[in-house]
Amino acid sequence: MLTVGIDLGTTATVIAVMCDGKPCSISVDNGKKTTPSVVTYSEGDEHIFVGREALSKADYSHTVFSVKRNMGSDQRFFQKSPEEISAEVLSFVKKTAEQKLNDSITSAVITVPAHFSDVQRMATKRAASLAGIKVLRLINEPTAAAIAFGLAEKVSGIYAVYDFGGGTFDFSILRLSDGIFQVLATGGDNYLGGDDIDNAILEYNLELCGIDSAKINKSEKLLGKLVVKTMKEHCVNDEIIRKEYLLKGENYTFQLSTKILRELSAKYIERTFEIADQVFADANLGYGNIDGILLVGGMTKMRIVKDAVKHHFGEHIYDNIDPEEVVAFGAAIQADAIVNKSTNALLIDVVPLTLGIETFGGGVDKIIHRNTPIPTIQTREYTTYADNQTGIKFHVVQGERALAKDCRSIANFELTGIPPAIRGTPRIEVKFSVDVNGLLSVNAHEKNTGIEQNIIVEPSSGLTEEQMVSMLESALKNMEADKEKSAYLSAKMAAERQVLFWESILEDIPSSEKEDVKKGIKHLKSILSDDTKAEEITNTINKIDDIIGRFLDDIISERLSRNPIKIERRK
Amino acid sequence: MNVDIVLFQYYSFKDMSKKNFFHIFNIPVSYKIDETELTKVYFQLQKKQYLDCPCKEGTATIDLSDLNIAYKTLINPIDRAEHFLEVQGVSIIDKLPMIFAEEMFEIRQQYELLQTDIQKKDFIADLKKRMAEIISSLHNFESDLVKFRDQTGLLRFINSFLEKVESNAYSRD
Ligand SMILES: Nc1ncnc2c1ncn2[C@@H]1O[C@H](COP(=O)(O)OP(=O)(O)OP(=O)(O)O)[C@@H](O)[C@H]1O
Ligand SMILES: [Mg+2]
Repeated sequence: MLTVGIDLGTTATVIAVMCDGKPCSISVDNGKKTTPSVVTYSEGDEHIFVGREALSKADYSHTVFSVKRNMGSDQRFFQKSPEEISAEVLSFVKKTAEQKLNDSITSAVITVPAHFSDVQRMATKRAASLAGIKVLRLINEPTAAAIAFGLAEKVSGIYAVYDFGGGTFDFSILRLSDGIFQVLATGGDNYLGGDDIDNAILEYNLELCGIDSAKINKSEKLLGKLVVKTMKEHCVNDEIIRKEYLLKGENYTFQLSTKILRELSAKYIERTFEIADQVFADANLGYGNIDGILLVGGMTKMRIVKDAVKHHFGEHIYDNIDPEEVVAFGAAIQADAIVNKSTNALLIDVVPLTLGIETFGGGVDKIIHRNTPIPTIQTREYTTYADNQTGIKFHVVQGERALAKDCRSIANFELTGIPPAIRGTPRIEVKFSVDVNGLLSVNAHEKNTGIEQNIIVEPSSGLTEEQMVSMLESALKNMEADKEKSAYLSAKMAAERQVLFWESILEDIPSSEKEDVKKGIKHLKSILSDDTKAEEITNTINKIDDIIGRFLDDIISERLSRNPIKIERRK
Repeated sequence: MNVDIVLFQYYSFKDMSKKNFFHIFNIPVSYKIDETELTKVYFQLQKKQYLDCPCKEGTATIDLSDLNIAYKTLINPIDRAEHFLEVQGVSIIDKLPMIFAEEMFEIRQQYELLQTDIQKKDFIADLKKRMAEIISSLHNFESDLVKFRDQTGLLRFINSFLEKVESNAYSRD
């Protein structure tokens, strides 16, 4: 029985567990620690591919990328909700990790961007339930990073976390002291990440090649984005990077230099500093008051970003823990601390966005201000506006803007059945509670009569309760079934799955290693039907994973520049 | 049944205001506090609460919520000033002292006349400086509660003025 930490990222997902008192990530995707948060559905849905296998298809007409950006919305992709798609990623990392560790995973701490709204948090929690994972707690990504850093470095003081990922930017300032991680202020933007810079690079190159970006379809665009993403990641020196982009049978050459990359990313980096400065103001601190800045997220690997951060804050920079793993590490530490009730990673996090109720005239009555420590409960009293008014509508909003229409709508509810009375006499108490996960629940009751209304805020157009229950039930049933499955069966299933994938990329494996892989596959097949050899099966998979993991990303990147291949159906 | 009538805020109050937050942290009732000490005690209480609490993870417990609100109130100089007055039985409610009426009117008008963003920024920076000055001298009025209340009222006004200005300019989220 294991408990893990999962960083469900926009572009990459990482799962970590405590090994001998230290967090370590589990190499679940072909020997790699990060699993691309990408899901491909085969036609007819019989097969679902996740991670590098999904990427290797190189035809993205049935592929979903960056679905985290749509969490909590009512958008659908191939009829699937963002929650269901995220659940596929979670379920993949969970199952593979179980097989690698030969143990079952029961619960997890899952991270979310600090700036995630209530609705987005709720959607994340549901995705985990759909994947059969019990959420011990949702924690904020920058906070998780601070935990991993604080415990590894054994430091105390005030630190800022600059978390620039694929889809979101978060900035938090924390006080670290004696095993306590107190968030002083936080801010961010859920639509500011590497994805946006990739878009800018793509647009730039399409224009350069004289391609009308309105004329290329979604799959072609996704392919283009992946091409420029790799270019961005390799853009370190002064040389110009070139890469082929195949479009409608024609070959184009994309290019990128450090100079262009700097120009294209400038406005996004600038925006991160604006947000950071607001957080400093909220915390009532200056740059000089902090002991250092922790760099988190893949984008901070980019030289340009790192230099800009150094230049802007002039503070000591910490990047010694891999910025792609550090969030999952913190989640694993927190999961362990919760299960063992230890006090070496006690969190005091805050509400990221002000919660309020729309008032007469369209304003907002702010009930819980941003940066209020959680858990927190706040109450307000309201009364009727007209004589004999028997109901009151409440509109709960989240955001910093002065008008309700400019904030994010969180929930609508009505308190009805108020006995007719002269206006101003009913006493309606509205109670807002935000729990340690940052999730809001609202309770309203009329004090004279005791009429009550409870709401747990849910995504306004998510799944219905019935759908949810039936999905949960089937997930639970699967979990039961999984439990009964022996180690042998789960190893066998993983092996069968992997063999098909390996064989599909065999031709691209460098000849020096190809023989080893072939031999490994052959051996694997020969022991597959022997149920006494579960351990050997797992070991063999791991060995092949190790070899393949070394150049899988190159293979995929190579494939992107080639003719797209169709998704082949599995027999 | 007419549920379409938009709610109207009759009065709203903070539930907690009757408690004495200084007592929660076992510190003297004074505007002047030692922030480091306050935070230290806060952390100790957090740990104690965490260890004592038999409750389920994820449920908002009243005690932790009280503790958090108490800390947040005392660490914030304006909230602390109001709480300090409250525990002495002085209320500042919304009725701001009349002596400042003219001044407040002036602030508003001056701001509205400003043309450029730079001018506005400077004006805001000045107001913030002014607030900081009031805050740092506030403890001198601890024995003169009327004066203390007036200064606190002015602080509250400037602060909500700034909040409004800033939330109108808000472009994030
Ligand atoms: N060496 C590198 N140079 C430049 N960019 C990089 C490098 N490595 C990763 N990236 C970029 O970092 C981004 C991914 O970062 P990360 O894995 O931290 O995001 P995520 O956790 O998936 O997203 P989020 O936290 O926003 O949900 C991608 O845009 C990727 O291209
Ligand atoms: Mg991330």
